[in-house]
Amino acid sequence: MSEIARRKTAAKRATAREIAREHLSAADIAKIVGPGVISGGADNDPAGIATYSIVGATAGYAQNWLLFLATPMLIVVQQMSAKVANVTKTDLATLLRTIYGARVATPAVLLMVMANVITMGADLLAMAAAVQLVTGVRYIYLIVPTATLMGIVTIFLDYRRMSRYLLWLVGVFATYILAAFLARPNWIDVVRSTFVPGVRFSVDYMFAAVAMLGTTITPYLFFWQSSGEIEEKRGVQRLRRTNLDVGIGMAWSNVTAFFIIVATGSVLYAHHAHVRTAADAARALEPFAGHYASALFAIGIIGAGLIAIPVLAASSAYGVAGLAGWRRGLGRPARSAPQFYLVIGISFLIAMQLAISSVDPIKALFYSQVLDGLIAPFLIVLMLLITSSRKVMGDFVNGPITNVIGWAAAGVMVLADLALVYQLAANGLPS
Amino acid sequence: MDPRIAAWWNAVLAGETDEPHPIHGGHISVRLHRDRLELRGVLDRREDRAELVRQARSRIGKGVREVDVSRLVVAPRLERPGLLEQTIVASFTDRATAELGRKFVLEHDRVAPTREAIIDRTNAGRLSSLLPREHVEDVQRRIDLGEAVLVMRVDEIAAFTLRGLLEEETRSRWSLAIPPEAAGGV
Repeated sequence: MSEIARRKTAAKRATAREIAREHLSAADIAKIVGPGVISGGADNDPAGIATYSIVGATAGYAQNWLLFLATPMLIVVQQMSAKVANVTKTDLATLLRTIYGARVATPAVLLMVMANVITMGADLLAMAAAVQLVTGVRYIYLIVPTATLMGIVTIFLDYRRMSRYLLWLVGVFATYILAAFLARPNWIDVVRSTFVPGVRFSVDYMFAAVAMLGTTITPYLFFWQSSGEIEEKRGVQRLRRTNLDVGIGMAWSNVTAFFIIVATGSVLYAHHAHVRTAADAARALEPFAGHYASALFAIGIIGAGLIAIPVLAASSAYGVAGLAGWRRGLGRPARSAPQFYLVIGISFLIAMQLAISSVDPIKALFYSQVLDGLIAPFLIVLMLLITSSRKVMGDFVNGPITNVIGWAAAGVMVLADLALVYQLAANGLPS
Repeated sequence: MDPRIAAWWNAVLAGETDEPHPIHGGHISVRLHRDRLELRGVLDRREDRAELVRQARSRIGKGVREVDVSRLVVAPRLERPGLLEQTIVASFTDRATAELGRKFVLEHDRVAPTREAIIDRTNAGRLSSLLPREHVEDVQRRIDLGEAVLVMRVDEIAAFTLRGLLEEETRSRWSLAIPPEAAGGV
């Protein structure tokens, strides 16, 4: 019996979800590179790397448990973003507008756009600082050419196709895995801090917790993932493939993040060193790369920026275009979706201005992630309400495990945000 | 040949390569360098590519000497058509605009609805036979505002194109996707 005949026979008594289920072979799994893997690459943007480096340098391994906890949450939230697009056949911004109206959708999208532009500015700074590490040219002179180049690439080239190759550059961060082993950390401490939660009630700790959650479960990725699914048109028949793509991408992203924290915790925290510049952050790679640590770090940051900055700009554009009902898509030429590309261009201009005026690249990177951490729970709750609705999702409604993990993600982020606000009210801003 | 496609080819050969293709829109692009015509893009169906290549090659000697279609590809499709269907609803200010939207969708892409209807106050009673009960109220609310709704049921994968066209290319005011269901008659 052919596959289609088998499915049609089964369909007489099956739900749409059962009909859609796809059987994946090992060869299929090996070929999975889609929006999920690219989102995973974009999740570890320069701001993310800086945040993980700061967390490792200031708190050692103390927040490993939070990253471990955040991993299934990140996977579930991204899988929800993908699923909702494949079921409703539209992107997240359009969905928020058509279901909740402009009063809910507009602030949700504008907050995401604001955080994106700040993160883009911080990422541009980080890329310029990374180039300074290897060329010696002051980073302030590198911001405009970097932003211009990135803007041209995003607007005029086929970014989605290119990003599949750029992912290899981010592979440089796999060196953190080697660096972590060569730094000879106390593995018992590492394992204990990963599986045994330990909370310190201080402003520094809470800032780091919110920033780490914000850079891991980050709002722009929800919009990017859903829009990516619309461009790929995978549909519900390929949901298993989509979930696997997302799972692999997000798991790899957090494995890398884990080893960045272990490496920086072993090299920098153990020697009471702080991360104030890109050069400081690069020192974590010294056990592996020695004198080449800076060059390796620079390549990784540039690769991460090349992947993440267009994703940030495009996520903003997808959000705004979805709100306004404009033509959108990186697969379209600029002349076919002028407003969409205009938003991308304006995002680059504002980010460039922010990067030029900012004085402390590492702080800018870190605080942009704090902002993401404050916005994300609001969006996760909206997405959970949509994906739990049988009316919207039909047979593809969330299962109990997805709901538990999703609500836990929102809950943990809200708790971290409240604890940070309380600590700030009690103790003021950290120095 | 569809007169719109013939007009598009004439425009391309005259150097107007920025004109979007009447059917494939932004999915394909054309470059004309001296007398070499290059077609690029990603199409959904093998038949669409074959037709486009045939049309391009038939113009050799009529303004072009060479045609390059090496970068005109068909998107690999793993999903099987005919298993699942999905209903997409879009509302318009009035029946005439909804009719224009319907015409646009049917002309501009390979969307083949298995069921379609335009509903306004005059035939609102039909809604319950076209949509699941839980969605009727939402759509009825648009009709009560004086709007007309276009209801189209298509193959699940075509629903991406359909909702995209209705959202981005027509003057629809609101749209809705009913979750995928087993194909009718299965």
